[in-house]
Amino acid sequence: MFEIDFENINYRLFLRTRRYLVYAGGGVVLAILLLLFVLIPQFQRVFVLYQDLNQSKKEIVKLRQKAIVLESIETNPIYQNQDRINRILPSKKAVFELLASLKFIADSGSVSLRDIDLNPGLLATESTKVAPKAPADRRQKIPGVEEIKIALSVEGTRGNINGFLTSISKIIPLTSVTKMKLQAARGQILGFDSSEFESEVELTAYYYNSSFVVSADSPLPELGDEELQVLSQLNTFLGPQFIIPKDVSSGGLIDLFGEDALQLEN
Amino acid sequence: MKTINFVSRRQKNLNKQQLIDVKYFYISAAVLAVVVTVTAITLGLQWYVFSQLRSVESESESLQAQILSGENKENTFIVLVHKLGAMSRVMDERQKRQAAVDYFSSIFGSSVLVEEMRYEEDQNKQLLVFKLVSKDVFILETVLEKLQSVELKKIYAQVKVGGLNRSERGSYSLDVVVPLSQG
Repeated sequence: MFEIDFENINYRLFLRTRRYLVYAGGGVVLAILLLLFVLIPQFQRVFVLYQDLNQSKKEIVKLRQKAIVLESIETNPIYQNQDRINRILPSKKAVFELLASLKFIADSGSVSLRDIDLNPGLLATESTKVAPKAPADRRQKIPGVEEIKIALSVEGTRGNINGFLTSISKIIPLTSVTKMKLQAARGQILGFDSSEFESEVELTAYYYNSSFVVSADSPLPELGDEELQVLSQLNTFLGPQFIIPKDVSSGGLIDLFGEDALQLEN
Repeated sequence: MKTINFVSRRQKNLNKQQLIDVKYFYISAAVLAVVVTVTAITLGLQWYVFSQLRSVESESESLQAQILSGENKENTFIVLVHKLGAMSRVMDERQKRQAAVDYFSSIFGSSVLVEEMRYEEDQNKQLLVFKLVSKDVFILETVLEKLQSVELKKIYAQVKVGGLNRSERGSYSLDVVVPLSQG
């Protein structure tokens, strides 16, 4: 068997006679080292950077689109109609607005409102407006939408009561009739000959109670056909024009009795 | 004086070997040159991609800042869109109910008084319940026939009728239950 005796090799002679072979070997070793420790890691880094670049380019396209939409959001019909939308589906229990609207359609429909009963009886607090989730005991049939139940009775002719019930679907805030019971007005017997009726009505008014966490890269929601259809119907809702006072004006400034304040005598 | 070269054969072998070694050297040098060139190109590519990434990231940061400055408007817009969606669902349900009320009102006719109408929801079942009153039991019989007609069953297949009563004053009443989800 052929064996190399490394101890007795004359390295000087070998280097002098086979130096090109040594250079070639050195070159190959250097090339392999460059390949293993520089080129392959370099390729991997470039690949990762390229993937990051592609991902960032995709994100920036979305960001650009969102920035453009946000820039012109004030001209969007939804944004321009925000007061009307917020009145139709408020973010709080709009009980006073509902009562005012009921009175408005009762007056214009010639029916008398009687016995209004709010259920649940608790009025809204500021915390209702920002609570992220509905309490567990209140099921939301439509996501984000809470209900207020109201019972009332109205008196009038059959036609006027029907008109009143039809108008309820057009009042501010959004309200539906869930129960109607017709009976003869006081002192009359229920029948076709009755001129005056009394109707016990149960209503469900709706308000919106949900909040969202937005991030810069989250896309803006797109409008579907249903939303656009509702948008076109906003002006069909009825309601009295009123401004809710936020402070008590003239409180304590005018003496309604026209008398000087009583003074304590010692 | 004549000289004898005793290593001429060895010299020839060495020269031959050296030519082969030079060939190997050129091949090795070429391989090394290729590896160095590719490394240089990769470095350049890395620098280019990195600078592109920096530029994109910088634009992204400025866009994010611009978007965050309009966060309130965005929040308002999102809530408004969701409100419109919720309103659409409420109005759809109401429209479905109203269509049923209108349809059954036309079936009942003007000779029948709808004394009570209520909408009930129970375990995803939506029911519309009518209580009809009439002085004449035969009018109610006509209504009953209409409620059991094939045309009506095609639209509202599971309409239930029952609870026929006669009051002290001699009027007759009948309960009609319309499941809306099947309607």
